[in-house]
Amino acid sequence: MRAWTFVIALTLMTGAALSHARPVAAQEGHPLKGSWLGTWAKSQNHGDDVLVVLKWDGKAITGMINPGTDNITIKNATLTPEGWLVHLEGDSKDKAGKPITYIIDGKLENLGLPHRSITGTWKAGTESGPFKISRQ
Amino acid sequence: MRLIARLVPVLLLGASLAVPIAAQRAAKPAAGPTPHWPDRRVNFGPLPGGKGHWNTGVGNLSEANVKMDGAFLVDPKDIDRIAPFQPWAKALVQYRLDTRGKDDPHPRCIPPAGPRQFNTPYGLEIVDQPELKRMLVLSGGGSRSWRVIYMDGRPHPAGDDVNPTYYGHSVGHWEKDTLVVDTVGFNERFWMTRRPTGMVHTDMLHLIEHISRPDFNTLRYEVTIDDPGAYTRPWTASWNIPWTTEEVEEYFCQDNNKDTGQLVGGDTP
Repeated sequence: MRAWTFVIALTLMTGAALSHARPVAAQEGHPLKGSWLGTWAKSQNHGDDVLVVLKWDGKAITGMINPGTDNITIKNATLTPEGWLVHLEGDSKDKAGKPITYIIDGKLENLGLPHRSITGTWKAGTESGPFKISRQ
Repeated sequence: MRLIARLVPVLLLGASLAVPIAAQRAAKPAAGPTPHWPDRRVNFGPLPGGKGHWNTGVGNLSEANVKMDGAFLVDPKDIDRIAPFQPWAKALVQYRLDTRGKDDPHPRCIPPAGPRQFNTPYGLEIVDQPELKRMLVLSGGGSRSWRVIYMDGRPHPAGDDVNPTYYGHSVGHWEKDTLVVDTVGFNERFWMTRRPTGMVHTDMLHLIEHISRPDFNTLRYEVTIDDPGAYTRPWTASWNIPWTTEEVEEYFCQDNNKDTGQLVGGDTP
């Protein structure tokens, strides 16, 4: 019993420490720039995990979803400062080879933190689901 | 009565000692012309055998002369007069002002890079090394770091040779009595000024600084910010920094962080 209590206490303390951990150097420029990791579940066409890489060239947000052989180039991306709303679009294909367009709408949260996040929804054809990524 | 008679000399002695010490600490530097080295270059430091440094901590990075309360705007509407922000940059700076600069990396011992080097408290020195064809800008505050300005005519690195850093890559030259410094290659891990807090930049930041010493006790600092990633056009800010005859106090934020108030949302000192 004492061992379990110790394990639970250690887990809670570790979790608390990690939740407050902050890297010394954060990215303080454009809030979307960087690599983001998270989930976009409930799809027949893609897995639950998602990696998004976003760039800022001074005029446009560009990037890629899941860099690799089946990557999706982001063709349209916007950040609306009023409410910090994020909109991403990219073209892909479903398992039958039919073209589909992914549309992601979310809200940028914890703006001041290095591990800020984007929470919202994804849609592609008739599919949709929750979307959440955090900056790495 | 005897007690008073005994105390009077002690008090007088104490006063005689205290006055010179207080006067020394409050001593105003003697006025004088711009000092030069024998080859006529401007000397940004003390005279040979002397001591002193630039008493930083003053100056607002703002295009217009707006009223400030420490690191914050007295009139929130003045944010449009500070700089020609892109919409996202203005919103981010507004957020940082609204949250009292609590996320500023500087109190966590990140270097005072960019224009911040010239308004961070605890002093600054500019050391000329003509034999090495370079100048050093030494920060007494923050992480007590320094920047190298190459004076040998070398170009900035280009392409893959660019290694973004806090202080970037600085090259300088003289235009009469003004030191002109061109800097690129910044990373995005710092806020580029303490006043107003939260001023944003991107890795496209290009600084052109004009540094001069119009008289012995004044350092004139003028900086043009060219950052198409965060601003709609280049813009310029300037301020004067006074000379003090004291030596730079030894201070390391890692050892004796005097900015912890800001970590909980306090004022930026």
